[in-house]
Amino acid sequence: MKSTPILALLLVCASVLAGCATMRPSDPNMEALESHERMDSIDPNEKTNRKFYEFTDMVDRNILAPVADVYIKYVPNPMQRSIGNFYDNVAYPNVILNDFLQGKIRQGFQDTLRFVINSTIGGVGLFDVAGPMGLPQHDEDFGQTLGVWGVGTGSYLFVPLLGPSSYRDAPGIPVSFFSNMLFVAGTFASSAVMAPISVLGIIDKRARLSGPMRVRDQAALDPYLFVREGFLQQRKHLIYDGDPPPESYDDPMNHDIPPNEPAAGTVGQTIKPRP
Amino acid sequence: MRVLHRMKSLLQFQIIGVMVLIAPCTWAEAPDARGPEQVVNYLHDSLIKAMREGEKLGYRGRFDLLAPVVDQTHDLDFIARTTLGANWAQLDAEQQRTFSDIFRKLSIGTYAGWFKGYGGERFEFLERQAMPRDQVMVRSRLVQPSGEVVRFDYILRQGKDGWRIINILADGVSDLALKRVEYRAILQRDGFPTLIDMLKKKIVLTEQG
Repeated sequence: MKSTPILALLLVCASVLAGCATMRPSDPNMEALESHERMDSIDPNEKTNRKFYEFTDMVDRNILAPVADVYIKYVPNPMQRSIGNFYDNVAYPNVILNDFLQGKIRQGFQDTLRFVINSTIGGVGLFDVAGPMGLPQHDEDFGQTLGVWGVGTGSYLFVPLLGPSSYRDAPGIPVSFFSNMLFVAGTFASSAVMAPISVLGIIDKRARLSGPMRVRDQAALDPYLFVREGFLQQRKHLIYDGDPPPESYDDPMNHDIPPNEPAAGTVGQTIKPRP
Repeated sequence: MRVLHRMKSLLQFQIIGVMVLIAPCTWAEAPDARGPEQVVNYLHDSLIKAMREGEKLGYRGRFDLLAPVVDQTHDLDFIARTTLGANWAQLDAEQQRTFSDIFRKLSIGTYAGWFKGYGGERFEFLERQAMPRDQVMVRSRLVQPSGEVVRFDYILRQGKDGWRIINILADGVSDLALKRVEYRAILQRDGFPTLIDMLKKKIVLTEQG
């Protein structure tokens, strides 16, 4: 039922964050034109992105998904949870870094404490002992930081094998890679140790995406668009830490008015930029 | 006196008759009096009921249980029109009817497909916010037995039948916006019959939950 992790900030992202007012076009032809232009503005590289998507989907359906299905079916749930905890924990320095970059000082210290506790008494991160101690897991990354700083989403980007991204989120990929403790460990541990750990990390990540993937397969008419729109909307949700203000609602009626409907209320909606 | 007595009886009979005639209308209009929160609560209570009785009812039973609820809580015609936007006006009346009908079945089928088993889930009301265009946002969340929380924010507007849901945001993802982009792209790329065929296939898929 959770349709969450995949899922579209429509147009406006740039203008939304810039604090522009959107006017409703009154001519249906203008509406269609505007709608079309909007698509182009958010995904000018759609052709290439679609190719990357199809390639990634092909690899996923033939290799990753079957492996993840076996993993989900045969690895006991508590073990899956511990494996997931471990990979979340080694990636947690990225969250801490971006806490501070976003000015969330208190959260930054709490997350540091969480990381230290889970890395030690939590058995190198296998057990989330910090959560019940009042130190919940947060979700921050460099793309969100740029969003908080007021950087617009930019164009949509589908990174082969990695998944949906955007011009704003793509710089976060190297940041999360280099801040991952596995990268640090890889500089002195042998590849015989690091390779299986990395492969298991990929399987864990894919297994956790199986729910959203199922939602996509059941609901999407055009899976590429479904993933794109869902991703862009969800990123916006995350930038607001899962609690977006009502003003951030991107009213579809701002883009065009359904026919046979009298215009009512305000014409446009002004959305304040994120502080 | 007898005449008076008969007139009185007749009057009483007429009053009872009028009341009998009015009563069903009053009951039928009962949902109209609901405020935005009550509309959302009614949907949530019905979804929990569908989940609790999910196995016993089966997909068809859940569909039949939820169909009137969805009709009374959602402005499905408005959602269908908004989903197609400018393309709606380019469809003829028959196509518009076909689309609205399929869209309704898909919406109810989606609920019936997903809300099928109960494990202690509960909905919690968070707050109500006024929105532009005289719309209202009712914010709520679904707490799952694992403690995992999914945010459900509803956009409602007051139409001739009272307050009705016109959009749902699940963890920030707008159902209407998602469908809008997909449906319009397919309509422009592949045409109306293809869109309807695809939607019919999706209705069948909802049964597999």
